[in-house]
Amino acid sequence: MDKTAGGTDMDNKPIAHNSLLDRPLSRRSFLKYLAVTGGALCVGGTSLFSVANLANADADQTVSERYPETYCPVNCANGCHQKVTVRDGKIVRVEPAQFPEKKFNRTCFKGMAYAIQQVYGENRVKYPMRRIGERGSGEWEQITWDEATTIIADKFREISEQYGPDAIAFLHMTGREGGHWVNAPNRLMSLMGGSVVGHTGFMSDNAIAMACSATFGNAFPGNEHADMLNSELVIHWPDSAADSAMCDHHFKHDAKEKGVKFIAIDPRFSATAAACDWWIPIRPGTDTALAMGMIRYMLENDLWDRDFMHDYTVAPILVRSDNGALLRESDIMEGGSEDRYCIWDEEHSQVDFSDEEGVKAALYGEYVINGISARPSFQLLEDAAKEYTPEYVEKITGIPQADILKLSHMYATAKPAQVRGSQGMNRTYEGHQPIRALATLAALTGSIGKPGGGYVQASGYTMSSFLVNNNFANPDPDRQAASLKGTDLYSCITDSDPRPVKALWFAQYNMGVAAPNRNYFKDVVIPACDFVVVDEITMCDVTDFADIILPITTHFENLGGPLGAGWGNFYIKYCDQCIEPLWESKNELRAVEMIAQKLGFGEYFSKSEEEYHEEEYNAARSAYVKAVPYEELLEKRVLRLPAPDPYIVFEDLKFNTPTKRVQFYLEKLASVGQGLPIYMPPYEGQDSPKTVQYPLSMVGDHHRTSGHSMHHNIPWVKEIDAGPRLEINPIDAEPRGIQNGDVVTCYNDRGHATMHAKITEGIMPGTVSCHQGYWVEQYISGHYSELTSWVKNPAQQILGDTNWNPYDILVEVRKGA
Amino acid sequence: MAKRLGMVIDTVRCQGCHTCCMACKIENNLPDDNWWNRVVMVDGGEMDTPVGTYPNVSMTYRTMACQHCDNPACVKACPVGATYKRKEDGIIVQDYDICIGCRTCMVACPYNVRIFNWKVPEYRINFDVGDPDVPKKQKSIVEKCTFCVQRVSKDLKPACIDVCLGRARFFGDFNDPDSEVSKLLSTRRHYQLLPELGTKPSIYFLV
Repeated sequence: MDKTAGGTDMDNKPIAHNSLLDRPLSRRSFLKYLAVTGGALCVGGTSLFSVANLANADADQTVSERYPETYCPVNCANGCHQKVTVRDGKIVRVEPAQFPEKKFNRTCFKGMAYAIQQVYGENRVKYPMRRIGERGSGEWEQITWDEATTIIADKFREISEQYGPDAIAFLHMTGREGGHWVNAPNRLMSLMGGSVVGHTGFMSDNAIAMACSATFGNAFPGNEHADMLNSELVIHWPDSAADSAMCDHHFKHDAKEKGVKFIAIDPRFSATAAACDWWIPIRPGTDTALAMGMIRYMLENDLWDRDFMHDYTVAPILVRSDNGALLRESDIMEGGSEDRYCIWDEEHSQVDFSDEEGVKAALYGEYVINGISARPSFQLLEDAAKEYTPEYVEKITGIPQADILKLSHMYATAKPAQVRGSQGMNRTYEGHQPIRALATLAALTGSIGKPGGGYVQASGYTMSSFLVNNNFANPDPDRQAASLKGTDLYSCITDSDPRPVKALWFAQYNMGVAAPNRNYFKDVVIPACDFVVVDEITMCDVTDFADIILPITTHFENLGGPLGAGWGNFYIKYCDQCIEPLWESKNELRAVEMIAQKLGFGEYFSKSEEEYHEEEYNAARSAYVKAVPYEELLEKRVLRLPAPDPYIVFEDLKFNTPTKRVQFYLEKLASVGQGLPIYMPPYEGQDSPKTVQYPLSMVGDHHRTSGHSMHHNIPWVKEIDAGPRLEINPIDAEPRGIQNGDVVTCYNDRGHATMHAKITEGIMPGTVSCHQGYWVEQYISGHYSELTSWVKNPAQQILGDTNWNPYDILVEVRKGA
Repeated sequence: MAKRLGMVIDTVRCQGCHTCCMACKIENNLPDDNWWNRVVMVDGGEMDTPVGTYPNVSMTYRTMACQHCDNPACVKACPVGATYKRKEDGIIVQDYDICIGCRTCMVACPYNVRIFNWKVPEYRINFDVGDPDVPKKQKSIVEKCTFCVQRVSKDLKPACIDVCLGRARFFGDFNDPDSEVSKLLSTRRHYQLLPELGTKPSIYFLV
């Protein structure tokens, strides 16, 4: 049986809508439309409208069109709001929804294609299904919702009784954000005491989150895109905004027209680099060395902001020479506070504390206080930076010395300069270090919290988090889900280490194409798991692993409610339900409700979508949201929250860290020698002995043809992007006898990926790349994620949990399959 | 005075995102594998492939569709008058009911923007999308960009214009000196495709 279980009948019930939005078609249009539709019926062969309906159509009747508006929730930086044309109950067109400011009207080609070819795609999961063949055989039988949820509830109960409820693990990703009920399984897990697997590591964003949280007290700090116009120099490091935030990229064009200069630091010549004044190729995983080289230049040439470092960073805070910890009041006096940090008052030659104002503290030197030797953090930074000479940095990064000096000078003297980072370099094994180094660099310029300056991460995700609260996932304070580190998931399943996991529930996560060390996951982990549930909108590589599949609605079939407009602004909009759920799909709230009822938690899921929307909106923690009553949002439908415009993160220069300062020095990493953001070689870098067998560094890249994996199966998208290509420089292709378009195989000791070669001058020699997110069937054989590994990083285990490092791998490439 | 409708496309702001292409595809209910508007590299190379030698490379996108020439080669070539220039606004249209599918226009057009339907048009989604006033696609006829004539007749811009993510596409009347497109041409360096052929395209590219 193929993946398209079920027929093509669709429920065409009318749904409630605002009649003001109706636009009856003219009689002429209607007749013409009928003729067109009739023709399509003959062509398509499969009827969506019954012939009887067409025959009975009264010529005076009008075909109604509706224009509901929704949000494109596929974990994209842009979060576009879409005006949807619904004709005869079906989506026939998607356009940008209108915002009070035109600059936020946007939707990309993927979002348009998704609305039609994903929503009505032949591979939609149409009915609940039970596996009847071997796991992975693709043999399914259609069952009812009641049967499916009974099987799930019984199995959960059985596992829970034998191993405890935390042997049931839920792992979700971000394929269908928007609407808090995507957290409905989390809600059930917290009620039943199941495990929720930390997903930021699997997502490969955790190095950013951990580094920025530790440094700034904010996991993804960002300024609005429009703030680029306030800058003099913007460095995309690395950040292909033209791919991953393409709907905000017009702000960059505006800035360029205003004279702002742009630099891209990236192993690949991306569409973003093409729109920059200067592309600086860099060896993957070596960004920290470049940043430290720039720090050295700024310190040596006195091009840094002493006041900012003194007042707002840990620069003056003393670090104990014996153990690398910050020197506290409690270290030097009986009954002293552990939350007061020592500084050295230069004027009075005595110790003081960082929370005292008006003290002129030493940034250099070494001081002995009560027998404890300590130095200011800044002194440690300066000492560490000395090593990063242009010669050394060139050797590590592959960037010529003259370019390093030119870049350093441009950055240090631009007033102001802004570094815009994204996820690329955090996907290396030591990915927290470059993030910390760039934060330090920005602090040295003193431009943090100022328009056009600072360090902006991931399009400023925090802006969109204003609606986030934990209430929905945790409805009862006395019941909590067990948290499970992502890096422990595989061993929990295979060896009950550190504890058993027997059931897995995947949601919004096509783990079939994004599993660390895919072959191990597929061949060892999944077979060891007793029970796998997948709730999905479309059959995909993860449904292959399922025992039960639940059909879930797309966002067009849900009442979206209040939703933001991407990561880089403060708009909020009330989103409509555009069409009725197709086939037998349900949204996650109603799906999980059925399981919850059978486990005795039904009462926690009984409210309507509208009621939950209001409840969750009112529970949002952001002061900006609190300032706008729910009724006002319902009435206005779209508004900008009362945040500063443009929003500049840390404008108040308040940092939610233990020291209340920018912590370029992290005492908790002193034990692993990473108190400072020093360069640590990649897991598989160009100085690794593995280069003998596998000489090429491989990275992935987020290309504009897919969010992650969620658009690669759409036929219209496939007409634009035919599938994976291995980008390789002619310098590497020629000795391997590879010509453009040849079938090539990328391989290492973990797996392989076979695809066509794309020879390009736009990639650094010694490095190859392939766009992320392609499905298994799109490769000739193998898959990118087979090549990856996931080994625990000691520093990241201290900060939280190790980030997956799919852009830190060595491979060899051969011609042929 | 009659209008001369046309487009100005800013190749500095074009980011090769394909959103205009998809809007066109949906609006005009184009069959599978049929695109009236495409993103191409200015140098003619493969998508997202720079010119130059590492690391001194560059990459510029632009879109290609019917150039709606003021002096159209296709119109002169068509033996049956299926393709003609509208007197009122200069749009080059194609009447599917008159077209005999001889493809002479495709040979005559120097821009490779006309598409011939070799087979009965196929659609993976079995209902029509886009504007219901768009004529049904047929086998053995030639089709191409119409400037979304069905939208222009409703005083709307072509579907590809306002969706442009780079804000790089402009539409208007070149015979009106106050139009946005006329003003852009008077203030920015620009070019037309193959001007030496005398076709006088109504698409201008800003550089």
